[in-house]
Amino acid sequence: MTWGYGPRTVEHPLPVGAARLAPEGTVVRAGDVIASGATVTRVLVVSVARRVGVEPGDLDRVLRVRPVADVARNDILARTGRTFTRAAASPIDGRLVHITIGGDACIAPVVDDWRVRSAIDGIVARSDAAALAVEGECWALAGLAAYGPDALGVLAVAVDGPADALAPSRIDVLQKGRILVGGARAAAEAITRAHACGVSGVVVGAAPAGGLRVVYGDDLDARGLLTFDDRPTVLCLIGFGSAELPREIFDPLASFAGQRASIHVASASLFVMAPATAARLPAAGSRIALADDHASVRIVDPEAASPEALALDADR
Amino acid sequence: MTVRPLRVAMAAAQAGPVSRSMRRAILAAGAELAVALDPADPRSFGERAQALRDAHPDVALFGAADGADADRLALVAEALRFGCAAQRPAPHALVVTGDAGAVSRMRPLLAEFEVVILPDVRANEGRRALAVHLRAMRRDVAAAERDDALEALAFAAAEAHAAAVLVVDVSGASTSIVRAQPGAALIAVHARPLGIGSAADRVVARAGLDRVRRWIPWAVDQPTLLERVFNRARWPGVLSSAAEARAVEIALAHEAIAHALADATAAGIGPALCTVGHVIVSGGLAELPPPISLLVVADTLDLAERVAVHRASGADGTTLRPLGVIAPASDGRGSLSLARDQDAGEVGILVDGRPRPLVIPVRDAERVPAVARWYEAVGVPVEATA
Repeated sequence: MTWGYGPRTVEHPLPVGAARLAPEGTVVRAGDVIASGATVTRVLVVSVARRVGVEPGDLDRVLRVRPVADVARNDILARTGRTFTRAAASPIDGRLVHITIGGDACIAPVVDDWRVRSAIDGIVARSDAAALAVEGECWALAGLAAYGPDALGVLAVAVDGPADALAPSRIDVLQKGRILVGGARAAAEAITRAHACGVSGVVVGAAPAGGLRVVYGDDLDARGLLTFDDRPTVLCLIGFGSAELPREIFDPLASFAGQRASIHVASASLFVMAPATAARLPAAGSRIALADDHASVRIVDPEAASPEALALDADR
Repeated sequence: MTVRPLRVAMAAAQAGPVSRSMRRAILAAGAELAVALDPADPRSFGERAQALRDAHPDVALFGAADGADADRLALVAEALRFGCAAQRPAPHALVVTGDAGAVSRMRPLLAEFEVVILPDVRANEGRRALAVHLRAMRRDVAAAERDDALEALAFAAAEAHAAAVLVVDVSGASTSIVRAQPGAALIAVHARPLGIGSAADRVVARAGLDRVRRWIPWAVDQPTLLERVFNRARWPGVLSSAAEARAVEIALAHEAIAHALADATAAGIGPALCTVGHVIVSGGLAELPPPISLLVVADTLDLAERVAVHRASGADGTTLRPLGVIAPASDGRGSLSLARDQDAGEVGILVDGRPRPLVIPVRDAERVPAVARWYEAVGVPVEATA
């Protein structure tokens, strides 16, 4: 877990039902919408091939609309014949999301749109229904676990020092659209207040696991949770409970204040779109260790460090 | 860097022998059952596809007894196409069936994937073929070798004692229960991710925080416990001498074994596992204080007869040391006699007179004294009051 500047490939996993994808080679800026679609739940299955009298393998030839197109009620999906026409129409307003092997059309009502935005400036290197990947150069800091949707905004420090907890009283609507740096701990109250004030996301040493459960639900685990709905975004950099940020982590964070940044939840990373010269990294001398009762993470004296302590650049 | 286990998405046309046999083969292979779907699943088409995409399976396993079963699986196969056709690398499709009609129906449905047909999983040969195939696909080589070593240990111990032996191993990311008996087939359950280290949070996700908490012999609030579990999961391998951390480890071991046994029961092999004369504890379970290891075995295994418990130790984990003897006496009539040459081990004889199934009070005021009494009964006084 250290800061670094360099080329990166950031992969954005997509939910099912992607309708629009940025094609490969597209130049994007962090925050640009690179994919959008609708949440797919129940689908109506229309027997298109059978109704128009073609083999499922030949259906493609007679289809009037293709996945993933929007359709209105009674829109013709496929049609054959001239004098005696045979046609299959959509029974509902929705989106043709899938054609089965048997030649049936799956039409889903559009109930809930989702969008995926690029986490970094770069070029779309992969674009398909499962994931988009963007290649670019930026600063990056890999954390431990992130929760919520990807977040983008200008980085702002909301604590006085790396050992401070993010206080709800320090958060207001003036920080709308920003990513707040929260020090050693951000409790559920601070996370939800930040969200209510329009804050994009919170980067913090640790968040209390119980508080995260309150915000994200009881089926939460320690590996993070990527969502696409309107929820707070939290990036835990070191652990759960409380974790004072080492100077090697906090000082560059503070120096990046005012720069565009993003929290990429799938990789639990913070990306900062700043020039390579924007920060000078202090030499990594700190070691961090889990407290004996496993309830927090602390910085340990490098001289007295036990084998249990991890160097900041350790491969976890 | 940790290599993730082989992830399997499973779909059986109906609950019954096919489904149970597939689960048994997955457990024997040490693969992770990432998602199980069946035609009666209440989830919508989109939700099934999303579940499959989120699972990111390496293998999609379909079990069909006949052509009608294959027809029932058509919608699940479509959900797989919709959810995972673009996945990189794409999942392999395994179809286990002995019916030619089922094969001819399933092949076109799964045409976008690499399809392998394996024999009917309800027969021993078919189940074995599936387990071998899955095990060969595993990339977590170190974990696979560990599974092999546990099976070899069980087999060797069964031969040495000329009796049925159960090896119970709890590690950071997996929990294994292996039963061997001379002249009988080996039964292996390698449940993962389910353990006391990197998979600690998965134990809580499966069991619930309250079920983990109930094994801790003092009052502990849920948020604090959850913090310890989450940190433990993301800082695997960190040792601690603190009583609080050790208590969490013991509680997680209890639930990890209980859920491995529950997986075995879902696979139709649960009841057969615990009828043994010897139990060997290994891995993290063997590293607990000896009386606690014995207590965890007594708490979690539904033992009907007296068993000798051994601890696997040594660099390769194959040196066995007698740990103790558990004599179940839930009917109040335990036998205390030992043969002259039988070693009572490091701990001695544990006469377990607790009624089965084990009931742990819900209220802390009743639970804490009860659990603390069990600790004290095996000679481990409860000191921490977190």
